[in-house]
Amino acid sequence: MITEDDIRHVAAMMRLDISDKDDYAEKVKGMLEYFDVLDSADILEEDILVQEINISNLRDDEHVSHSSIQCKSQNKRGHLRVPRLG
Amino acid sequence: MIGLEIHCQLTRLHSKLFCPCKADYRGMEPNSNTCPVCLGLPGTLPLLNSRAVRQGAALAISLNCTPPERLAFFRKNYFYPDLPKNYQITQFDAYGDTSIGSNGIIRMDDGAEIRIRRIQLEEDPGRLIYEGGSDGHQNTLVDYNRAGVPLLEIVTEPDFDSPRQARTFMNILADTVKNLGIADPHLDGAMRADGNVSVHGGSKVEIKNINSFHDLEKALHYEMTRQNSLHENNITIQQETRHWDDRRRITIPSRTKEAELDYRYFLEADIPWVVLDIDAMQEIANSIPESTTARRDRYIKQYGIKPQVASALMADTHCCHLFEEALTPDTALIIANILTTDFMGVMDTREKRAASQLNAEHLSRLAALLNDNKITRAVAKDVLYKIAKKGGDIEDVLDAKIFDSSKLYEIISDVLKREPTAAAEARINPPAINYLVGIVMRETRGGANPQDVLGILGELLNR
Amino acid sequence: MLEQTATSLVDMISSGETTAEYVIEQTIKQIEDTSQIHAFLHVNKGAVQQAKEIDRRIKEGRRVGRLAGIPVSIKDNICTKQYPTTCASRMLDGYTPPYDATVIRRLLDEDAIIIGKTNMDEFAMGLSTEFSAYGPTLNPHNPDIVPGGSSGGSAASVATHTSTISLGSDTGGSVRNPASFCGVVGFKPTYGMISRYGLISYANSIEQIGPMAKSISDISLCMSVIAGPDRNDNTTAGLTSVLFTDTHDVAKNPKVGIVRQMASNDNRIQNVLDKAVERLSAHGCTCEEVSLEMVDYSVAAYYTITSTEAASNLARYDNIRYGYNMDHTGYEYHQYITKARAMFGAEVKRRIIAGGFVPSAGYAGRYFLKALKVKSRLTREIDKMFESYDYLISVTVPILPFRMGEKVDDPVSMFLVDMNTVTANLTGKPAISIPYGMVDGLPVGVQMMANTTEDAKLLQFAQILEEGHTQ
Ligand SMILES: [Zn+2]
Repeated sequence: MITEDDIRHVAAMMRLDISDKDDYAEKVKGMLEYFDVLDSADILEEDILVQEINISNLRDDEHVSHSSIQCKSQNKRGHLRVPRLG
Repeated sequence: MIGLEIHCQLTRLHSKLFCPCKADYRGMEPNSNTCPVCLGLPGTLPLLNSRAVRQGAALAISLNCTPPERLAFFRKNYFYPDLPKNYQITQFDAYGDTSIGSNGIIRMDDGAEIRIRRIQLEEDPGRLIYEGGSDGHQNTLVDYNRAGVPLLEIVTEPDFDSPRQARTFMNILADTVKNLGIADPHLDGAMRADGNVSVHGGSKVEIKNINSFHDLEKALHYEMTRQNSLHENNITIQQETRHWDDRRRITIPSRTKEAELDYRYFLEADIPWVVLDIDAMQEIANSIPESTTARRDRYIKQYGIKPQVASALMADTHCCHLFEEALTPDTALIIANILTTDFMGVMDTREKRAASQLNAEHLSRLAALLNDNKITRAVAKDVLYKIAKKGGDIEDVLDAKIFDSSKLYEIISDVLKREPTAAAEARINPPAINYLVGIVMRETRGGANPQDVLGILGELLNR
Repeated sequence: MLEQTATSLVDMISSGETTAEYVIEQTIKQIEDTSQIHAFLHVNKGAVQQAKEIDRRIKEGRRVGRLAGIPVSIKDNICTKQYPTTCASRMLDGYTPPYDATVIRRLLDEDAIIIGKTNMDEFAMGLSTEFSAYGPTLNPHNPDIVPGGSSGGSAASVATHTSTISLGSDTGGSVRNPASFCGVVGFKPTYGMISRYGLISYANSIEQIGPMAKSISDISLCMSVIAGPDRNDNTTAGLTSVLFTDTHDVAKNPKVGIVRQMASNDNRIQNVLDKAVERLSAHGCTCEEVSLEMVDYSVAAYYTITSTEAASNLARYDNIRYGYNMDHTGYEYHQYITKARAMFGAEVKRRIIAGGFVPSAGYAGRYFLKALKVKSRLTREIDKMFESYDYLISVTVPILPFRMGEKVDDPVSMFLVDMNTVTANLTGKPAISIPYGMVDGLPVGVQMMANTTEDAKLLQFAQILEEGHTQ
């Protein structure tokens, strides 16, 4: 059983503040409950299908320089300044 | 029990793992080696470097791993400012063995077998700098020049008996990647190891932030001692991540609680699974340089080098390279001996030898002089010591030390002229010749071969 | 004039019958006249100047591209170097990318005029365009009704003649759904047919850029310009180029499967499908009901996969490298980014939370892995179906275009609207929505799917329905 606390925990892990509205937990729970229909699909033995690429179609190891991209809050030396890590 | 988790940058590549920025980011202005892809700008897609895949497969083959039929990439999701996308593209074996290598093995000289659990190809994060030190800093500075640099993560099983053995393994691995031409392990941060230690079947403790092979041994040793003493006092060992504090030379608990992180690994669909068919793998296998064991056998057969000398040579890639570069069929044996006795004698660690200024040119010149009997073993050894420690030119170091036989003749006949009494004495009383030998040796500052001096003296006295 | 298709407009402009300048001026005027629809988030102020340049080259007898002077609008999740690209999100307020998407470069190489950027559900999450942070787009047929989504601005723009062609993106129906709701043609190509380089990812394993237009031939023209392998997108490798402007050999008497699981409960909508099937039968097609069992699980699988990928794709919006101004003095990093990410709208937040949940330790096996398996089984099922049938048909959306606000607070009721469209995304197949009737003054579209890489054949075949509708 997924609890509202579980959802609050995941929201924090996703760096989302959900205190602005009180119905996030309820609505997300509704979505997850809908996903439970997957339990009744008879697919446990199914192999995963994926797209493939041949190694010869991968990028060649070549250097191409890119004109510099200005990011937010770069200092004079070019470092990005971000908040302290706690 | 000790296990290792090693990160090795593929420093010889021209471009990053997923974009055409430089793989060699060292010495560049902060954030000047970036593009929309490695900055993770919206709408960009990773473009896998084919040579990084080939190099990863080459290491996997060299470590006797089973290469996968298909290579899959996964996202490891967590928020951290050194990750431009807030996920790292790495590998994971959720759907069979899809990492670049699995289940390898390395045989150590002492007969121990170290199992390689897996090798993964992944991107390096950017670099963080803490303004005002890592404790209580006000700002974090980020440089993304390193973000996206290709890394191989090599994870061993906990098969090491001792910290020393773990360090030896690191040396072997360093030699292997050098021999493959895929990395320069001596470059700062190019090869980093985390350790994990458990004693008496207790919990596993991971140790991070170890900056050299030397510190690895020290950190593992400290941690084993710490855990053993906890065990002896019946204190339960916590499963945790600890950091090696290289100033205080102890391990300390890490602030970030790794165990609480949920990385939510799932498939990176932007990179289709890379098919490594038999042809592709054969091509990679063919490109791998001769392995060290094969080369050792060849040295023994081809040059008549003794097995233990060949082994000593093979155990050190740097010496091996010097040997290969300097040898001729005539001098191979001499060079092997110089390297394994004299050079390894004066420079007693790999680190010292790798840093030494002795080069192949020095060696081939020394060997030629020895081979032509221009200098004695003693002189050669003396010259080698000096060059190994300070570098320089062989001829300068030799100074007046080259004594070909004609020069020795001159010196000896001069001595006989100056010492007529001693000469006369020596003619009737053979042991008295030693006095003359002593004078000649002083004159030549020990550079002459005493056997040569004896021979010439005998010849001149009998005339 | 603006009612013309791209194909005829290009002829008129290059023959001198009209000028690109006039076409673009009229288009800009039309954008102003229909501004209450709110199809656009940004209008290109340099468009007339760019059109003049094309006219000058035509006058000088120089070669011009295949889309010379055609006003093309672009969904605001496709990167344009010259114009802001916001995904209709406050998180990217004022953001202008430093590069053009591959599709933009290809359009510009053929002298198309990028007329503006169109409104959408924030980060393409929605199917009504009500989740735009900049306000909804209205349905041109009825302002109280949603235009569909998430490419609602693009569909409304084509329907109101403020662009001749529009590029949208289709993750689970986001091109076909608004095409159906606004009465235009919308196409979702085979996965990998069009480069996604520069398409801001929502669910990257299944989404494609797709064109919307007034005619199928305009879709083909657009595809011939934008489709094909791109070195900047590894998922386009290995697909051979498809020639969209050629005539393809099609089966004499094609077999068309009517997907039972995609039937509508609404008889008025089902009647539209029946008429389309009648027309196909009259053209020699064998039409019979078929069953795709996995369709019943497709929407759950779709939302499990898309929310997982979205949560990861949207993690980069932390306001560190780009984004809006928010001082970080006094904040710890994780506090700061949590605060910054509050700019996401409620629907985006809900999907990120769900997407943090379903692949997490302890739940991945229950949700994410099962969803992948459903996706794989559905693909095998449909592949098998295409061994016996040439095309599959259904209505595009099983319900009529709904009222603004009707479903906005009920995510699960929204899910079911996607029932008929997500299959093409989960299986990578090409699918088209063609307007085929009106119910209560609102358009209803019919959807057809074909096998992988049969995009051009599908477009050619679908013309039977287009002719049937216009007659
Ligand atoms: Zn880059």
